[in-house]
Amino acid sequence: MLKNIEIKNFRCFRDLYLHDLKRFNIVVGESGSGKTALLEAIFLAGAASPEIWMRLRQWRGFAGTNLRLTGSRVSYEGLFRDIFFNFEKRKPVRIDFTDSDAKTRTLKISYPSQEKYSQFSSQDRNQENEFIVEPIVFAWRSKGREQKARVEIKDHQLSFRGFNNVYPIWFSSPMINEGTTIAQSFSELSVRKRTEPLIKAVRALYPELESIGVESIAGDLLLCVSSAAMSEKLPIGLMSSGLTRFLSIMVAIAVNPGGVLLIDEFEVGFYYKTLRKVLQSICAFCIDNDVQIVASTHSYEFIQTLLPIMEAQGNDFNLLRAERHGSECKVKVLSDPVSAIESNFEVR
Amino acid sequence: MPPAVPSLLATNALVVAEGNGDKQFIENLCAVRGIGGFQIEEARGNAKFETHLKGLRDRTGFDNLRLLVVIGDNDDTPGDRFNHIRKSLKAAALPQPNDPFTPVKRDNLTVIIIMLPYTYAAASRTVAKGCLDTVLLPYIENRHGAVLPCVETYHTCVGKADRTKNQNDKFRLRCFIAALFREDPNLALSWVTSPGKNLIDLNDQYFTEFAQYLMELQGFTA
Repeated sequence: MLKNIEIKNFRCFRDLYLHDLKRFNIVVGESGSGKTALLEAIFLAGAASPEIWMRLRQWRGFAGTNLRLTGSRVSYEGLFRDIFFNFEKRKPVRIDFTDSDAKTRTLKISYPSQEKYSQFSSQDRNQENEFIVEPIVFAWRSKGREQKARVEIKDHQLSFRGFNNVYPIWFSSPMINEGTTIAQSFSELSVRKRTEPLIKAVRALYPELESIGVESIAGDLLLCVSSAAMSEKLPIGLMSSGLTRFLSIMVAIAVNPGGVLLIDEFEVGFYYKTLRKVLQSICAFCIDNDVQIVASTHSYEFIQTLLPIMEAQGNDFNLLRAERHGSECKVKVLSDPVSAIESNFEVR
Repeated sequence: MPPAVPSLLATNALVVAEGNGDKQFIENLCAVRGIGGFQIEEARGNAKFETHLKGLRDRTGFDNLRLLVVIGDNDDTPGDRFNHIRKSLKAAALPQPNDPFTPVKRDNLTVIIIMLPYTYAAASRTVAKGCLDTVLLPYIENRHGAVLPCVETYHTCVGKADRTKNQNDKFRLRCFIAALFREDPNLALSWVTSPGKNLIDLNDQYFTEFAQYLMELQGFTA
């Protein structure tokens, strides 16, 4: 479980230090206040390849790894421009976290000035318009070992090298199509005969479901459910968005024991009448699997529903507010969110 | 009932009154006297002061707050009531004044506690038993002198010696309201000071001293 996080020069954070994180950490704040950026920082620090940065870009609406660079330095650096606070690429990004076992992990992202790299492949090198770009370097340090990964362009394709030590972190967002990943994860659980607690928890909330399993539909492996009312199994994507989101989160918890679940816009998809039971179920399942949640939300109703549940679970929660001050975002841990919500105060 | 819209902290001067009657009194007084700049809200009772004040720090906009005025009732135990507010401020990690009407400042925030009835306390810094009803009663007794003997007779008849000062003031004000406001003899205290009810004229000189005091408080927001 993450205890402390320090972020320097990443996206909208110049210098952010969060300490004493709890089992459940809910981040509120206006749009553009850095909620998603905070989740991204954690995800990136726990990752093991710069490819994760490309994935984050894709979730933000940019192109994925199938890029069309124009062959200029600006084009290459444009891929990473917004990684740096105020686009200042000379100030390295540094993301550190410490977990409850006092293990530390650091990610440093920089353009080391001593290292030069030719963008073009070898046969292009003698061309007159050749120029030099510095490759960006992602350096992870964990368990006393550091591994650097450069983002290189070879044969006009981005190439990434990885690190073999990944921190167990899962990112869930309504912007991500998790269908295949969820099916794969469920299948992994199934192979290891570990789906029973998950299915039990899901059926407690949706008793009409008879079974959950992975099926091949038109070549796609998809998580499907069946009920007495349905003549055939249906992929969860065709069911309610609430059930889809709930199952996705529950699978992410089950497949990630002892890890961290990052959830962007936690409230999306859940119907208000079932929200309390859904959240109770997710919180209990997190505790059973020793999973920590760091989630963002815009919904006051969601916070009102969640706080009493977390209180009942032993006050192991934080409500944090992200705030933008000019170009910089800060995150404040609220001191007594229960009193504030009980008094119906705006805290977002 | 739909959930209430969460309450924004939109100004740098906040008044937290004990109950809705106190809130409406301050709000109406400010309105008729042209005193602006305060956000006025109720704690929903003496027992809720602590929760309300503890929640303030987490409220969006708290960093811009420069003046916090807490208004409570002395009731029959002025010292206890004042200390209860101090303890609530302490629990909320907010500055705690040593006396009513005495500002205390920490960082950029000034906190003042006003105890009702204010007039006696403001004038002499001594404390008096009572509440908002005690503040309003002399005005209404003076203005509606014709009703006073009837109220006095009824009050004596049903026994006033065995009631506390606070109970007696509430009793008498209730009698006046029932007698004077025929449309609704059970008119709530929160409506009594409403200009539309024509029961209390908050422009009367009787309220001038307190209005002046509230106006001066705005100096703490600079």
